[in-house]
Formats: sequence, C-alpha cells, structure tokens
Amino acid sequence: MKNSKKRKYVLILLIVLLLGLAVGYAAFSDTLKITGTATADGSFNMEFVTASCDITDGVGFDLDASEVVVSADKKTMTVSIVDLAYPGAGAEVSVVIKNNSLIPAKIKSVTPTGIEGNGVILIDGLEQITTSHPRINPLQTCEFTFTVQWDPNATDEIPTGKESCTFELDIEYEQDTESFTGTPSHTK
Amino acid sequence: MQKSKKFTIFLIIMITLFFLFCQNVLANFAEWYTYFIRPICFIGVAGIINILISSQLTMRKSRKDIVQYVVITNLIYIIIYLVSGIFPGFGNNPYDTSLKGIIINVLSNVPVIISLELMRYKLVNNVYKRDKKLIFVLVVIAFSVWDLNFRQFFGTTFVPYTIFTFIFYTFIPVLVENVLFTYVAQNGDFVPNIVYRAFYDMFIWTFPILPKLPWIFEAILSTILPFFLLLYIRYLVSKKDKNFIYMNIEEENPRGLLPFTVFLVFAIWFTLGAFPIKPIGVATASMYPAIEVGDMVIIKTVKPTTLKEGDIIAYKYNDTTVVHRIKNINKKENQDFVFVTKGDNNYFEDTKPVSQGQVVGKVLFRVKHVAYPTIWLHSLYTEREDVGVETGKDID
Repeated sequence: MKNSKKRKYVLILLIVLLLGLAVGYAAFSDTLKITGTATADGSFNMEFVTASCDITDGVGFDLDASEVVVSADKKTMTVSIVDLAYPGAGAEVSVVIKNNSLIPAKIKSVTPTGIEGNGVILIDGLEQITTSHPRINPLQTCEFTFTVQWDPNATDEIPTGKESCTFELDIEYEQDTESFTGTPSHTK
Repeated sequence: MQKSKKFTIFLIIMITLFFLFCQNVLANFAEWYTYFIRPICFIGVAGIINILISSQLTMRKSRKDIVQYVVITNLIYIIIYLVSGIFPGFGNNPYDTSLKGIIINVLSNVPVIISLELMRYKLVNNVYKRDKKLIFVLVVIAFSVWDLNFRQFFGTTFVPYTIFTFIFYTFIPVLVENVLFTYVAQNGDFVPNIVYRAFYDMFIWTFPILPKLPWIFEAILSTILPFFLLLYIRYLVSKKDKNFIYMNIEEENPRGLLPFTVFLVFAIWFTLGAFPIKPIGVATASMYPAIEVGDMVIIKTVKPTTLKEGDIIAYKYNDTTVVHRIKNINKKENQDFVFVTKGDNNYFEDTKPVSQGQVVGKVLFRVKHVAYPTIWLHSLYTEREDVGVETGKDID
C-alpha cells in the first residue's frame, strides 16, 4: 500500500478515535471525575502567591502552631488552624493570588476541600471573592481574606476542650471575555 | 534584495527585542494587549519582514506529506492527553469555550501564529547555504524567547522546584518545538508549522474539559512527540533531497524507535504514579521484615471502605507518604472511617489516626531493593527530618 494511502487511513482512524472520545465524554460526563480547573498548556494559570493567618477580634487559637502553606506548584493552599479555644474563636486568613498569564481571568470560586475537623468549623468569606474581585487582569494580583471560626452556636462537647481544623483551598477560574471597560489593571 | 547574513542577523536581533518589548512593556496593557495590540503588532512586524526580505515563497513538494504527519502527531498527542485524564481526573477548561470565546481566541492568536511562522521562514531562508547553521541556531534562540515568556517565569518565586519545572515543563519542550519549526521552515515551508501550532491550540480552546495531569506528564509528551516528528521529517527530507541522495546519506527511519519510546513513556508515567497502580520507595525500617529499607512497594488505589485490619496501606502524613499496617478501624455514625496504624517494627501505634482522605492506597506486593537508587538520590538533596511517625527499631 502506498505511503500516502496508509497515512490517510491512519489520519481517518485517529480522527474517528478522537470523535469517539468526544462522544464518550458526552455520554459519560455524569460519571467522569470533573473537579476544579485544569491547567491548560501551562500558559494560563492562577496561583497562590502568599498566605498568612492572624487572630480575629478576641483571642482563641494557637497562632504559633497554626499555619497556612502554599504548595510547591502554587495550585493549592493548606490551612491548618490549631486549638480554637471556644465556640466563636476564630482566625483570619489573608491570601494573595496571582493571574500568572497574559489572559484576563475571573475567579469562579475558591473552595475548601478535605476538611478535617469535628464538623463545627465555619469557613466564611470565600464566596465574596467572586463579587469583590470579579476580574484579575494578566500578571496582576488580588488579595482577599476569610475567617475560620468555631461555630458560635455549636453545643457539642469536645473531649479535649479545643477544636482544630485543616483543609485545602482550590481556585476555580476561567477566561474573562466580557467586553472590557478600559479601566486600569486590577491590583488589589 | 540579495540574501545577506549580516542583515538577517540584524533582523533577528530586532525581532528578539520586539518580543521582549511586547512581553515586558505592551503586556502591561492587559486585555487590550492580549486581544488587540499583540495580533496587530505581529501582523505589522511580519509585513515589514515580508517587505524587507522579498524572496519568493517556494513550497516543497513534500508539504502535503509533512502536513499530514503534523496532523497525525497532534491527534496522537491529544488522544494520549485525554485518555491520561481517566486516572487523575478532569477539570474544567479555563479558556472560554463558548462560541464567543473561541472566536476571540482564534482572532487574537491565529494571526500571531501565522506572523511568527512567516517571519521564521523568511529569516532562515535569507542566507546562503554556508550560513544556514548559524542562522538556524539564532532563529531557534530568538523564537524560543517568545515562547518562553520570561516575564511569567520571573514573576514567580525562585526556589529549586520552580527552576526545575521551568526547565523541564517549559524550556526543553519549547526548545524542541522551535528546533522542529525552524528545521521545517529552513527546508522550504512554514504551513506545517502553522498547522502544528493552530491545531493543538484549537483543541485547547474548544474542549470543555481537560485532564488534570501532573506537569511532568505533559512535559514528557510535549518533548517526545515533536522530537519524534522532527526525526521523521528529517528522514522524509533525506529521502527526497537530491543532495542527500547524491552524497549517499541515508537517514534512518525513526519508526523503529517508536515501540521502545512508547514503552519508555509508559514506564516513566508508571514510576511517577500516573496509573491507579503506582510504586513507592521505602526509606525506613518501620515495616521490617515485611518491607525493608530500599524496597519498592506497589500501591493500588482502593476505596478506603474496602480496607481490612491487617492490610498494609500507604497514607499521606504532612509531606510524607507512610506505609504501615492497619491495626484497628473505627467508624462513627455519619462519619468516615478512621484507621489506627502501626509499623510492624515500631514500638507504638502511630500517634495520629489516619482519615479516609489521607489514604493513598493498599500495598499489593513489594519488589526487593529496587528503590535504593531513588532513596539515595533523595537523601542527597533532602535532609532527613522528623516526619512525625516512628521509623522502626534498629535491626541487628
């Protein structure tokens, strides 16, 4: 068989295979594990820059033992708040994220995952980032804060008398193609 | 205008400066730059280059063959890329895959791709044969500057990990691709390069979900596939080029390397944990004699609810993966399982119980001593820290 004919058959086979994948995705999209945002080709990504935690009004947790750590690939952040002393005690976490690409992006959500604790922890303020910072321009940063608090209304008894919580944060984002306004770049 | 080495080098320098100007100055105009300024600038500069180097565009007879191989390579890449997502899972495509988003991305990026490749083609063919090697190298460097986008790299924190990922995830694949594109352009064509870049970009702009692969997998694919394509195009050129035939130079058909390369890629992916069954090297004697220092254990991803007392599991604890045996399983009402684990060679049970979310998988079997090189290499650049779990009694 001539080389050009072989190539044509290979091309057709690969195209059919790709179409089959697309059809398979459509058919099985409910069962596919789709979470968060993928990193497309490495040139479009949002990443955590820095993070820190501090005491909210009042006191209430072990600041020295608590930590907020950005992963080496900057895609996730681990928050660990240790020894919240009583219902209502809380920590304020400040985070800076950066759009390290040349594409304007908007944040869809910042979601806590893998929450380890006794179920009485409230994580508050994450949903506001989408309203307070609707867009992050290329190579610009954005800072937001949220609180991690022992539910003030919690009544369950904790054997140790203190409560700790560890979770990860994932950023979901997408390209922003709404008509731009020509306003200066977003810096905070 | 006659071909000229000095003038070509001058143009390459100017184009490199133009790339740097775009990335460091014009990019500050944010979305104006991405969607308007960049494509217009590139069309303008390509037009200037086209006027300054007015040689006729000569198309190789093998263009159709090369384009077909380019499309085949892209299809293979895309299929492997998508299928790989079955194991780690998929994420939403960050690009706007609506019709409006696709049109915006096409209109703002395709002119840049066409302009880039036209400029490359003009530059590499504006010298005589004796100067082609030098210009080849200079063009590869200049156009790699554009693809590398140093501003994004310098905008991050300089730690060994960042540098490591930059080299293997960005620098090497960019270099290989630019060698491929420049070689194709130098052998008389720029259309395959446009097809190569635009084909893959179209897939990225349109597919609603993408695999959440660790960067190392993409780095391997992005390096090996263009490299293979380069070898194959070189082989094609050698078969049809009269000089090669006259000098009786026969390039070896790289197809023979394909099975070995495929095996190598899958072996590397297996080692890096791409599949549900993955290897882990054991660095301590906490599970002696069942598992010894330097052994490799094969872990299978399982549902934590299927685990039983006595199973050996791997779990994440801080930044370490611990391989210990389950001593006890607790389950509170409406809550997940909690595992109490202990190393066979440890005095005490692990201080903190293991939650379901920490479980990596169950040990299927071990392979003796195979992991010694990895553990030795790891010990060279990592100081042993207190990992927070017992690491085994001394062995006589």
